[in-house]
Amino acid sequence: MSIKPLIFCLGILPAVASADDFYISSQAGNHLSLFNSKTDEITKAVEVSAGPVMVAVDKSNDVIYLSHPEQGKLSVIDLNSFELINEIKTGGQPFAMILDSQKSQLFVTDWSRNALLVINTTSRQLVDLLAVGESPAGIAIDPDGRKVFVANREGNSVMVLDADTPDLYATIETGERPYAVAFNPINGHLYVTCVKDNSLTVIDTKTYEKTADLKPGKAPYGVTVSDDGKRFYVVNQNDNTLVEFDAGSLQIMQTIKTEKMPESVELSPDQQHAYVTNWFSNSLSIIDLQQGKQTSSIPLKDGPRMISLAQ
Amino acid sequence: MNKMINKLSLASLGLVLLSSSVFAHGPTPQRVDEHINIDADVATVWQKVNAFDQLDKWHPAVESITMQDEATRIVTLKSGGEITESLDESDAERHYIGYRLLTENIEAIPVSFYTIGIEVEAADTGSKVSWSGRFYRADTGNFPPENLNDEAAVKAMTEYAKSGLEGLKASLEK
Repeated sequence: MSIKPLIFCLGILPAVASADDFYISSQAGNHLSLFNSKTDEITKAVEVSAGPVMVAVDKSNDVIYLSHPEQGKLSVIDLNSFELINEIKTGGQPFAMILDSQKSQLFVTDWSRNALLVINTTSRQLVDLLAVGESPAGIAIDPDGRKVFVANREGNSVMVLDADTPDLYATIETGERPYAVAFNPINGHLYVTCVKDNSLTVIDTKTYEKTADLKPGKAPYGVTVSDDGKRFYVVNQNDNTLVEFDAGSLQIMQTIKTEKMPESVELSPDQQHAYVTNWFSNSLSIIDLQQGKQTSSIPLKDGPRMISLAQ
Repeated sequence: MNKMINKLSLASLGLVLLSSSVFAHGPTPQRVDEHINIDADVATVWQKVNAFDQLDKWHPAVESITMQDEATRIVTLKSGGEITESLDESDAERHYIGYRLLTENIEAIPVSFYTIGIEVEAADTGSKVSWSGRFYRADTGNFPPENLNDEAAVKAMTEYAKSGLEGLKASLEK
């Protein structure tokens, strides 16, 4: 995750995205919102095509991708103006997305076709469609190791694919109903939340082995890793909590109350705060990680799903 | 152990589309959020709510309950049909139970999956009971017929929650 220095062009383009900007989808409310973590405010919110679920922000091309599984398409939105640039009709139910920082491509899981879609981000064309397991949900990438990780929700497995060629390296058994995945580039571990059996599977991506089975809470959902790779964070949808794990000892460091049915989590650029979208409460929890509690909450449009930093 | 991944041909996609998984959660999750005030103290209401095998004693839409194991109940509905639900948690401190749909029956209730929480809190007089949850329509494909779409799911889940809360109130205030 490289954040390019944009400061010098701020004077010329006042609307340019900053490192403090986060993008939030509201699926039922058909909205894309911009949250500024410096001011703790929603600075922009626009109506988008129906049912946006996941967000991928491509800073190098100044675009935002939104997935609309129920419409079988992706929206491509201008990062600065929030205007729709074009749509990529994929068919199926495109769900989670991950950008490749080394190559002009976007990987998208297709829930209903059991496929991994490859989009060329220069031509904005669907260029490949690879068979994966049943109901692929979360996706992550190791851009330097050139590997893509896909959680097969109904297959109870994670597949490791080559990021450049249509090769499958491994299929690793996880807990039940794996949903979200996060890759830790510092230790090479992959964290997989498993919604049904309330577990978190830790995979060593060098050996393709499951190395730990953790218990974060009830219905673990979104997961993210700190920039230094020393901590990872999981929200539990049925406990209404955010859990902080030590990536070395795999111990829970703290458990913090969120609002109702937390969905996804991101950390502030300085790693001092966590931001959690609460699906049921239609809100964003702002959590002070030092104090170990929610310090404020901001209303969001109906059905907030994903919060994403620019990549 | 490298293995070439199957490339799906465009011709085979049509076939794949027909076999959509019943568990597919691509569609927009829907919400139920109902409340009622009951003129009884929290402990009394909680006792009823927490008896996972006794739903038929107060829910007017439920004919009978059969326990499959201590955390799994088969709910026979008065309208006909059975659904199976499994208990996720019973928190006596918070006065909260959480459960989920284990085996769907879209003819009985047009939803493909749900998680429900029932919570009892103290109110000014008596208790406030909330029934809330998240669920998905019965047909999770992108072209659901009217009887299996989001609206049908919301209507059924809302009516079931409402009648349940009213039945609970009636059973405690009689």
